[in-house]
Amino acid sequence: MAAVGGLSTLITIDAYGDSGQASWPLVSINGFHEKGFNARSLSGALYLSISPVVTRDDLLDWEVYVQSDANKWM
Amino acid sequence: MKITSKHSTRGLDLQERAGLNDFDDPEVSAKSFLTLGTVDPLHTFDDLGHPLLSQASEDTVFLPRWQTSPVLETSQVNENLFEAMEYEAIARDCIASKAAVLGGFHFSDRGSTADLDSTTAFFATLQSISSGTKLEYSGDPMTHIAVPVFDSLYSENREVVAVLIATFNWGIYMEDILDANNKGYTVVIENQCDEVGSFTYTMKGEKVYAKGIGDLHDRRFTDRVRNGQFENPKIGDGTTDGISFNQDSCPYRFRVYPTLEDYESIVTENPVHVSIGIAFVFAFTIALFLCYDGMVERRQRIVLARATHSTAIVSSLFVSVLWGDRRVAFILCFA
Repeated sequence: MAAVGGLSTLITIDAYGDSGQASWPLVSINGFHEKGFNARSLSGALYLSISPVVTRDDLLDWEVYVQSDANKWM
Repeated sequence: MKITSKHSTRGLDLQERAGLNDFDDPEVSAKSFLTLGTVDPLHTFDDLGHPLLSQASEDTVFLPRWQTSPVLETSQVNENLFEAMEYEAIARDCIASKAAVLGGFHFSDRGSTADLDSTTAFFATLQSISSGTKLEYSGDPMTHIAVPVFDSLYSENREVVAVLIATFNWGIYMEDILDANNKGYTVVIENQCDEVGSFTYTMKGEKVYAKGIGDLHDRRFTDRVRNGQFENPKIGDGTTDGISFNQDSCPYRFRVYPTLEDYESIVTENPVHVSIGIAFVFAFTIALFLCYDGMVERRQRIVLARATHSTAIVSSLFVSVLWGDRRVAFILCFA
């Protein structure tokens, strides 16, 4: 499970991006497919998903965000 | 129907090139969507797996699933995991305790990727993508682990900003452990957070077979058990602190028992047979030696007797001649 723990750390670092500011929950991780594949291969997990904690105040922004080009990661 | 632009997105495109997009059943995928969009609004699923808009109107916090690996064509994205029974408890516990939390067993009926049961289809699709070949889900337990994602690496007051959920199948961890000729062991996995509580696998050679729900080990070998459990309280994540592993909510234990086939392959009469064989070889060698020794001794006795006899004859003749010569010399000397 260390691979999944390592992915968690990687997400924390990646979330800061070039701006140096993480804007949770409106964060998408670059190359999540590759990073997730690597973590799955090492840990034996069949499926990995990341779910940001979204407060009611952020919910509208979140719904706009997931319908934007941010969903091109899929 | 899904819109076609969905297939031009990055993750699915990469999987397409690897030939991993053939396992999602189109009908199952289509049924999982509420809208024609790439992503549905925040939603959940009812007991039959039908999608519906989020019912958590009173909640102040939501946990929508966002990025996944692998990317599935079913509507996984933006599902509120706080409304999904199998994820809610571990996700809330993970956020509250700021630690990784292991869930209980998550079962479904055996079936294929096209199964009407959405969970069965989901598990079959995951196993098929993982192996690269179309597989049926065998009905053995999956477990989810929730791992916190923090807003900082080292701060003591860091907060959980997201939850990483990994789904795994216990059987995978027992494959390719034993030698191909091994006759097998029974492994019982127990947890203390499910009604089911335990599941039994059989390891045979390099393969693992799901035996069924409950503790199904052979009762003749109960006293031969070897126990195991997770001992490490931390999950390594590359930082000095690591991520705490909270096992209190669902502690697991692993019990390993021999099988009858394994027992019979080890506890056999072969040692007795081999011992008797070796004893026979020794006895035969000793008998052969004694026989040889007796024959040699007899021959020596015969030779010795003949030599003695011959010597006696020669000696008797020699003494007469000698005495005769001495008598002549004595007479001549005194004459």
